[in-house]
Amino acid sequence: MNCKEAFEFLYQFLDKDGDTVICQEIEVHLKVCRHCCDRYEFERRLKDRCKKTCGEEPCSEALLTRIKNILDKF
Amino acid sequence: MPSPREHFEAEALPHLQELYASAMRLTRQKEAAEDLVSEVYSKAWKSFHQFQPGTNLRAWLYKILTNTYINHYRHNQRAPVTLELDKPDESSDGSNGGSLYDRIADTQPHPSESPERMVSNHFLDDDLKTSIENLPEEFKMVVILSDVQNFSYQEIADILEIPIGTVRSRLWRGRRLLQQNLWKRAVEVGVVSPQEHPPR
Repeated sequence: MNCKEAFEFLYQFLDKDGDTVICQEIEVHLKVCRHCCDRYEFERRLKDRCKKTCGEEPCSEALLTRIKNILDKF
Repeated sequence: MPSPREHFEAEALPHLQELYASAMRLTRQKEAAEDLVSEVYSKAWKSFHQFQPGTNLRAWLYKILTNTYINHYRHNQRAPVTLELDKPDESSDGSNGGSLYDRIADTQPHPSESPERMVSNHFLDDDLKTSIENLPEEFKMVVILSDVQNFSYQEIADILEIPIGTVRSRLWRGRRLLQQNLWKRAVEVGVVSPQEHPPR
């Protein structure tokens, strides 16, 4: 696998959604190609940051009360 | 044996904070996010008798969330998406166009720092939230479901009722647009200088 092919399937590898054989080939490529490895690390960190930053948000007690009141009605 | 109400609360309420966070990114407003999440729980509770135990309740709640949001969005006739959906992005030809990694690597705004470290050190939480919120709706939903809420491609396809290939293409474009938004934000706050930024 070359860099262009690795780039094409990088997101599927990142998301663990790719064909097993292709993912194995990308893994091998990332071990020998510093540039693609850095690119992968960049994308992985950005994805992690999205989850950590936006995954959950505290909501108000008023919202919880409002939802429970809705449940009481039906 | 728990009552249906107790069962629903035990299963559905633990997802409140993540649903609220997703609603905040979709609507961008606290009041609208609270209205949306309230409606999701109302609809979910009313049709809870149809929910099949053992299936994915979290995905079911997100399906209600996205459907409710789409209907509300269309009802209110907010600004239409101007990008052509599902068209392969020009950057998917391997030219890497629009990649934040390449822009940072090319311009080296902080030569001592690698692009991957810059993600941690120079982008604030609010920059990331705003960059996601400013995505066109269809891309935003896929990015939230994948990168924020960690659903698989197949789960996203089921939630949004679109083919899995469409999930992949929207996620590709959504991530590229997110990275473009982050770059613009980095220029605005002075992390990088616009002069350093070669037009692509």
